[in-house]
Amino acid sequence: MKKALIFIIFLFFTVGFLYAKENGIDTTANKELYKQAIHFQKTKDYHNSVKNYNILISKGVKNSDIYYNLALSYIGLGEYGKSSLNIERALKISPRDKDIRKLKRELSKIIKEPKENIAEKVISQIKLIGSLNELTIVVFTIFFMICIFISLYCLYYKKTYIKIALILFIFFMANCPLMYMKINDELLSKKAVIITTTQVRNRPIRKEVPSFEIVSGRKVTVLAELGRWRNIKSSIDGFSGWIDKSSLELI
Amino acid sequence: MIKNIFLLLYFFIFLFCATDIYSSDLKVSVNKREVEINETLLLTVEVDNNTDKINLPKITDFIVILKDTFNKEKKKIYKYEFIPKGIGFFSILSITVGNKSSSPISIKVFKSKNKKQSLQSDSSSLAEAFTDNAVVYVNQLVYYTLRFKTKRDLACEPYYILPTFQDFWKNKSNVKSGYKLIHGENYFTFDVTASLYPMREGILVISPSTVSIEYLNSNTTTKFETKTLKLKVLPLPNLNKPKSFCGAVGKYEIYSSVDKKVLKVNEPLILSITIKGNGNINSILEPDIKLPSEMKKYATTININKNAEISSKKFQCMIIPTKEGNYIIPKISFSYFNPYLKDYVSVNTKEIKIKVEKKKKKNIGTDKDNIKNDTDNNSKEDLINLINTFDIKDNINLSNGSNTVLITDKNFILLVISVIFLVIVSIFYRIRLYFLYKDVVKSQKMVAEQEFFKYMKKAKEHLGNAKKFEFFFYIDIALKMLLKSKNNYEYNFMTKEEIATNLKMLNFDTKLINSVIYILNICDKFKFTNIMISNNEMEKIYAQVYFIKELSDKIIL
Repeated sequence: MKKALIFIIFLFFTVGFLYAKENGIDTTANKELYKQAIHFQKTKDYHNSVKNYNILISKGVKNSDIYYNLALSYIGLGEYGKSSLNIERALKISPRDKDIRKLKRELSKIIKEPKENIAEKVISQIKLIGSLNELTIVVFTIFFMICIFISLYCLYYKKTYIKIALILFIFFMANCPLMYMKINDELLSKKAVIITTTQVRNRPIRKEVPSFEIVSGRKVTVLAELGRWRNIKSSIDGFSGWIDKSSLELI
Repeated sequence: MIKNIFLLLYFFIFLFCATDIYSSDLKVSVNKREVEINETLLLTVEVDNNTDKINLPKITDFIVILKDTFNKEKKKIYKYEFIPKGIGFFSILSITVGNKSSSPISIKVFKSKNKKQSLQSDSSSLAEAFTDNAVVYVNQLVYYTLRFKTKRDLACEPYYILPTFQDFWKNKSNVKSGYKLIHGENYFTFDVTASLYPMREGILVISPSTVSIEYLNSNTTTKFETKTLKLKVLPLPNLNKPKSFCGAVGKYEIYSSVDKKVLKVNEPLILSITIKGNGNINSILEPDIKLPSEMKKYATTININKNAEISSKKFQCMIIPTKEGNYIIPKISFSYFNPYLKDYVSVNTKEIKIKVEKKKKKNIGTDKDNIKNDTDNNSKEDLINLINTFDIKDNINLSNGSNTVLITDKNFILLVISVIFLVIVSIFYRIRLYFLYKDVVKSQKMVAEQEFFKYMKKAKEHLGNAKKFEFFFYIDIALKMLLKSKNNYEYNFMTKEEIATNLKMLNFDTKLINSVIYILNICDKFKFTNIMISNNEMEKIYAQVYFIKELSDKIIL
């Protein structure tokens, strides 16, 4: 029994390491497409570079650098909405990338994103510590370690194991709020970016007089869906209303 | 005894009657059996909801002044208000509903002690109602005035009831009271004025108003009632009716203003349009504003300021210019019907000139109403500068491109569940051990059994070896462990005789004891001597130990 359990523990470790190894999508065709996209972008042929980047993304190459380059190309085309969308997607994958963060700051100035207060700034900076996947790996590695040490304690009945498990549990609890914020931001609430400047109405009726206009590039939360209407709430200033679904795209 | 039986009988009869009354579908009641002349009497008939019609008997001695029907808690209630015609004893005959009928109700009508009657005037007081116009147009303002004047002193303020003013739009009424000198005499006057707007054409009837007063040093309440008024309402003429006419009747003025005349692109501008007049201000709609295409109009807010004479309605809308330049907010037209001129009149606001300037760069400001996109205004140079500040990432590792969310991945969830399962299994293992070690004897027996298998395995390993010592050594220990697993005795320190005696006590068969002693003897013999023994015989001994285990397992200790 004891041997079997130890074997299972090692099996989990092995499976975990094997799972952590990512699958590559590195084909010659993709490389060629990517080279062309870079060439087009350098020669300021933004239409073609955007086209190539989008093909790469549709093929499953979802890389933060590709999103970043695509965002730059969209700026070249003057489409700030789509640029903002791609920079948000890039930031979701690589939140610590300095270039991506700098581009986001510049875009926020262009689209006149309302300034955050100190608390909001602190929270957004904490959120940028790592991506959801990175945080998941960290938190769940701690969780696995806790489980394994509890198992070892159960098998050998040594207090050292339970002490290590308790210390790990403190680390686990410290990471939980951040994990919750990340999950809430990226999975539970639907975040979107306004692609085209659109009018916001108080009710989902075309005849309703627009109450205000929301500019392209603004990050919003989708609260509800009704046919072709989406009830949105501006992420920072909190204004809400109904807009046409074609005006936004989910991050 | 008989008395008790009678009491019981009475009780049952009473119970039967009571249930019979409450099970009835018809209930007829009056609010009072004795009334004064001119006093109203209320008759209530309650029937089941399913009942279609009730037959009210012909009432000759009363005047029916009110009939009302309504539903309440699965019951249909008919209410009738009567006034007796004369003094004496009268009866309301039985009311029939389906096959059920009520008993007649007798009413006593007596002469009024306090002479309560509605008067229009007496020697010292007068109540009258009038309108300022007898002939008006639809939606034209009419003042209805209820006036009461008296020479005598009143105990309290008069209590008045105005008519319901059906077919009229009524504004809040004003009350004025004071003393006035009329024909050299001092009168207390009490005026109630209501602004009315007739809503349809034809002859409209205004029912009487009532004023109840109590004179000083008098306990009686005197009720005055005004005459019924008739008002002729004319339709609005169709001739020369302007397109922008929205039903306003009276005399109006229109003004427009803006909060600023010089502004920047995308800066909000508040346009206010005020319509002032003596007509029904509520019926006025927002005038049509024809703005240049470069200006976007947003939601309008409305403020109404009601006064007795002149009311005003203010429309405020937000306008956002999208391009720089000089613009003109054109004249805003408003049409109304002037009943004095008997014609339609159109009034206009003045044109407003606005200068829209180019917006300064990087003017950060957010407001619900002025969130605007000025990205179009960014020059190409700015764009180029912005792009040039950022380097293209041309050294991308395409293999590093999985965008799956790990936490929602099925394999990942499976891994987490497996780990949790591992913990649960370990905990169960620990719990099992805990309960096992709680019974020391049992646990030691189990350990001894495990030891038996362990030594037997070791003995098997030495089965074909030239060294016989190890084989017999392990067989000896294994056998003693087997015996220990049965009763937890330490047989290692016992002589063969002691072992035999002990096994006898444990109800071991004599044959079994002999075979145990036999094997122990052989073990002793071959452990310490170099006598040769064949492999077959060793195998037999090995098998015999297992045979002893099988037999000993069957013995219930």
